[in-house]
Amino acid sequence: MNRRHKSSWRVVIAAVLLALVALCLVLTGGLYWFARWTQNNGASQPTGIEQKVHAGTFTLAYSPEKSALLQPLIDAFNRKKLHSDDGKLLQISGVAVAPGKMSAGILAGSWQAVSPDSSLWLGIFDRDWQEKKKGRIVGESFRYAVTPVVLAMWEDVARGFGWPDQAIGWQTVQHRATTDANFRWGHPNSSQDASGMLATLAEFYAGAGITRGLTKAQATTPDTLAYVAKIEHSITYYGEGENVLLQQALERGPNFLDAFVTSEQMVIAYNHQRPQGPHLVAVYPAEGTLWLDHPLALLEQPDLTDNQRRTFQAFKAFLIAPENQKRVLAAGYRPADLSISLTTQGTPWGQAQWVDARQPQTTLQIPSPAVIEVVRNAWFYTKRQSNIFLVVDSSGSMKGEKMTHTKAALRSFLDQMPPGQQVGFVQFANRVITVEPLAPLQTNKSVLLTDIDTMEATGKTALLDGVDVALGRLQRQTDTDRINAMVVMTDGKENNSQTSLRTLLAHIRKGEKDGHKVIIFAVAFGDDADFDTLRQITDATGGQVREGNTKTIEELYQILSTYF
Amino acid sequence: MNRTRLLFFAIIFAALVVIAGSLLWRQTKAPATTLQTGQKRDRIDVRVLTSLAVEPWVRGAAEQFNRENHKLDGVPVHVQVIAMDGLTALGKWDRDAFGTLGDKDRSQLTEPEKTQLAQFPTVWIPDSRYLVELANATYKTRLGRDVFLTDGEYRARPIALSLFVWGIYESRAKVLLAHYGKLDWQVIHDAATKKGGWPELGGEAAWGYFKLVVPNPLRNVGGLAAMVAAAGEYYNRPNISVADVTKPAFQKWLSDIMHSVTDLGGGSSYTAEDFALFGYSIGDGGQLLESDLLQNMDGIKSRWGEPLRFIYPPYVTWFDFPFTVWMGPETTAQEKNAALLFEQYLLSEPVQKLAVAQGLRPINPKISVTDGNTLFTRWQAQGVLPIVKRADAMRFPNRDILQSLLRWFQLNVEGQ
Repeated sequence: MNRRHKSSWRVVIAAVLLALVALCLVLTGGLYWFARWTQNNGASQPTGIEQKVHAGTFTLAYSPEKSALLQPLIDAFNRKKLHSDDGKLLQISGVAVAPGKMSAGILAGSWQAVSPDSSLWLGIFDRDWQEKKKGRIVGESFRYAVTPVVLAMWEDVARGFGWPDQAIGWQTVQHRATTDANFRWGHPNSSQDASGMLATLAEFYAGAGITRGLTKAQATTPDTLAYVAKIEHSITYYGEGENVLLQQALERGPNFLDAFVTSEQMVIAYNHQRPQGPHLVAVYPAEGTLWLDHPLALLEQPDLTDNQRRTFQAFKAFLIAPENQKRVLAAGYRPADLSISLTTQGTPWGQAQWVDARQPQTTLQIPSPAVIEVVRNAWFYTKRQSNIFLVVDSSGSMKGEKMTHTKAALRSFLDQMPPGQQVGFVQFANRVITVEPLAPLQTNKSVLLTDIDTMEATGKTALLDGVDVALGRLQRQTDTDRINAMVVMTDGKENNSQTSLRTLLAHIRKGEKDGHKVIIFAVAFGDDADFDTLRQITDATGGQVREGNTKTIEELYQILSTYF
Repeated sequence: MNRTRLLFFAIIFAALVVIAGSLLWRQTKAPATTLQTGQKRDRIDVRVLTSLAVEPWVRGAAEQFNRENHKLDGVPVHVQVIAMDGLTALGKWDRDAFGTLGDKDRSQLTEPEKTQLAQFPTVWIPDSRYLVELANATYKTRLGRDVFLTDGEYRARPIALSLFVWGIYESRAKVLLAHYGKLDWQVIHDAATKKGGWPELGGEAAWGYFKLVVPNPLRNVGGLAAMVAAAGEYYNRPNISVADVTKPAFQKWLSDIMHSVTDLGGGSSYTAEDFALFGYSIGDGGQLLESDLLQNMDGIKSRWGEPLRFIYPPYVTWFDFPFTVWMGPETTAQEKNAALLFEQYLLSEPVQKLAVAQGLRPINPKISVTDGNTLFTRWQAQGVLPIVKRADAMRFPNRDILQSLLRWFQLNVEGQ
């Protein structure tokens, strides 16, 4: 019995010890694999220079209009979980940034690569870098997708210009815009977008009476500036970029604009989504155009690591691989892989007449970065100026974070405004509380800022009264030289106005009939905003309604500032 | 259980803990060690800074070389290719951006310095040997010695050849040849200065004005070589001087030509690949690297519906892509020898044949450019010459001439 007891005791101890050994093995293995996992995923936290060397983070900033193409490709690349030779995981973070804002991020060392819409920007990035630091920042670059800038026109408008038999140029459209008050056209904001930049450049060329060799002196003669100002005054409104133009064309069809400057790819994307028509036609300007060549450039940041170079090379190989070049083609871009034919059956160029693979025949000469800078600066002074009313909801539901963010967004909007704009302010809650009349921003900015800072959230929502007051003020200006617009923001439903929606819409229509067009942009702030009412108001004026929240409101106001 | 057994299990336990600890230590510390020494314990790394013109070929060869697991003294050699235009690389050598040791000894280096040193190129393959001479001149001033050798085992050796040739879209070439009967820089100058553009030359109105393709000389060594070639033809001799390129009459003539380039912005390096991708819309023709043009001919024809016409200039500008081993203490003797192993690989018959497949002319005399269905045979009808019989090659300009041209370009073209 005693021996049996002893024996079973030994078995228990042996079992415990074996369990301990097994536990040690599990722990050892676990720790080992944890160490490997943390390394591969960059979760380890080495310090100092080691952190830089081991860093696998690779951030690529790309222009927003190609988000639909590039972000899925980045995701697909990341899913492949490629490793470098030394076992590091190669991963990319993508971030959509307007090319006009990329330089700041490059100088801050935020990104390892950029893909703006045009190589035009690369020279500007280098120049901005050289002003602050040594050498050049733009390193190896390659192209994976290209598309020419075109004049997008509705088919009937294009045929009215003589398409497809007659050559249509920038000057043809510019002439129509300045002689026909009913002709509505637009181009993206020149400071944000290469196609907007090109449209402006074409105006400067036409103004200087040349098709190449534009100099700083020629770009700034009074005659050239007067010509450009005349053309720009015919612009219905600007915008932040091509993807919004596409969205507007899809939503509003020919009611949107008669013609606008965009890329061939956007024309393809539109016609693909609206196969039954009405169709958009890509007109390749006779004087020449510009290619949006979407370069992907490595930034030679001083702390660029080997692993980041490898990531760039791996992503390059991935993007130019045949299967991904076919995705580029399917998205309406011309792939960089020249072995892929554009004109085979099934491609946009092979099956329809709206785009032409053998075009463009010629390009406008792209001046040096120094001349481009002069053109960009001169554009701010020649562009169509605006009268803008900011109409802001300060009802009780705006209390707290919403009000804080709104104030920041409004301040940011005023800071983004180019010189020469006239801005007014209407604050509403139970009723219209504050009305700051339109005045040049340089004279009333401090008053506006005080109004914004002293807003308090209380009461109900008299949205329609607020809009009607601003509308009346703008219409009474009878200022047809400027874009007359308002940016309305509300977070709730209309519940306290004396003005009805029908009355307001009648006021809008009457003003349009009298030649006092006012465009209304609206921000539906938060989930409770009355999107439908806002939509009816903006649709009546040719404007847009955007949804925002406390995280996006500031950026949204910054975007809206590009329309003026 | 007796004490012996307990001790036995305790030892096992302790051993396991030690193993686990050491594994963890190895995992977290190994890469840092790798980067400090510049090479893994189990392989020799060769970092090859390569001109863009030969990069696809060299990269392909390097990948194959790595797959074949070549060894030096029993240690595997791994080649890493870094694509960089010759001028950009020269700028980096000039600024000592790769970070030479100077007077320091390896053992005195701080961790960041060791990390920096691990990135130092073992080999440089620029477009032409004159870039090597320019880099040597810089380091002679800085260090008092050559860093790239011109003789001996480690001398700079060409690995392939290519040359400058006119490539003009067929439709445009026909009009130019009908109008002028020939094509050279003088013809280009005349065409470029026609205010009426193509209609004045007998071409179509839709073609706009005559557009020349010249790579940006600040970004691509081809652009600089094009300006030197133009100067050679302007003075009708293969060697030019600083006095030549600074003469106002020449500068006015060159300015007329350079202003027929469509992109003065310099954002694009503006290579033959661009020429193919954007077709005649950005350039009717230009003097570019033969290999680049040949590589893109199929694409040009399919994308734009017509091929290029090749016309060889009277003074030939050769590019010899010298394989240049860095001779300083920044790389180890083992790395230098491993580099030579890769050089031999590039010069081997099969790899030289791969160069021909990319439109490059081989250094290995056993290889012919017309052996089989090569780019040279395929495009012979478009004017491609298997053998270029030209007595005069453009001489390599010295640093002063290059700097004068670049400075002129910056002030009169880019900065206008």
